Amino acid sequence: MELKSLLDTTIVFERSIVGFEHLRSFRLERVEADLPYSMLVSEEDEQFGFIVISPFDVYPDYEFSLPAQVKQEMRIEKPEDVLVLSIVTIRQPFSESTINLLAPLVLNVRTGAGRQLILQGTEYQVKASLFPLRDGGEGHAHSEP
Amino acid sequence: MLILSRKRGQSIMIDDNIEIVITAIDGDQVKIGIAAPREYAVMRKEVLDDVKANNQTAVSTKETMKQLTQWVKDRSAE
Repeated sequence: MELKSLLDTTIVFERSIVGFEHLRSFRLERVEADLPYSMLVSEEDEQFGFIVISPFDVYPDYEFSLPAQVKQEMRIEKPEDVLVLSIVTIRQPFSESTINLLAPLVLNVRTGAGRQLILQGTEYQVKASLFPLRDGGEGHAHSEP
Repeated sequence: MLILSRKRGQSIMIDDNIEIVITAIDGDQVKIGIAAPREYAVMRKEVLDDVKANNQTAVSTKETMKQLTQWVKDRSAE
């Protein structure tokens, strides 16, 4: 589950991130050591990246089970092999930013394999609030999912 | 695209391991049962479209990342 062990190593999305079939290889970069955000940067196009965060940092109760098929294909043998990250969408104002809980990124820290999983049979949202409880001062306290 | 006519209860096979069965028809709504091996992810197309569109909106640069982290810091300092 350690993000550190994946920093600056190549992560290969064999099945690509949905909609970006031409990009397979990414690198995780930490921007600020004391903040939970990282940047998933494309190694094929350095200008291209996603801001990611552990969904558990935002929603401590977040959970899903990894289908056996996925575990097998990604050669995930034990819980410590797995790191889960969610893609953040920055919106204006920043307090309206969202996190994709429906389609988390599952990474095998041992092999560097990554996959965007679309969860089945769940209520989790593609656009869940990135700041669900803390009020940004604009008076919006989102409660989803 | 192949177009096939089916009645309620009838099926379509894709290879010998995916079965699509029309279970109910009610006006403009059809209920479809799908039996496929686990390695096939079956979902409504809108779900995939949603994820795709969201991924596209989420594409960010390091500059955006810096702005966000600065904002988070400023806010927690308040």
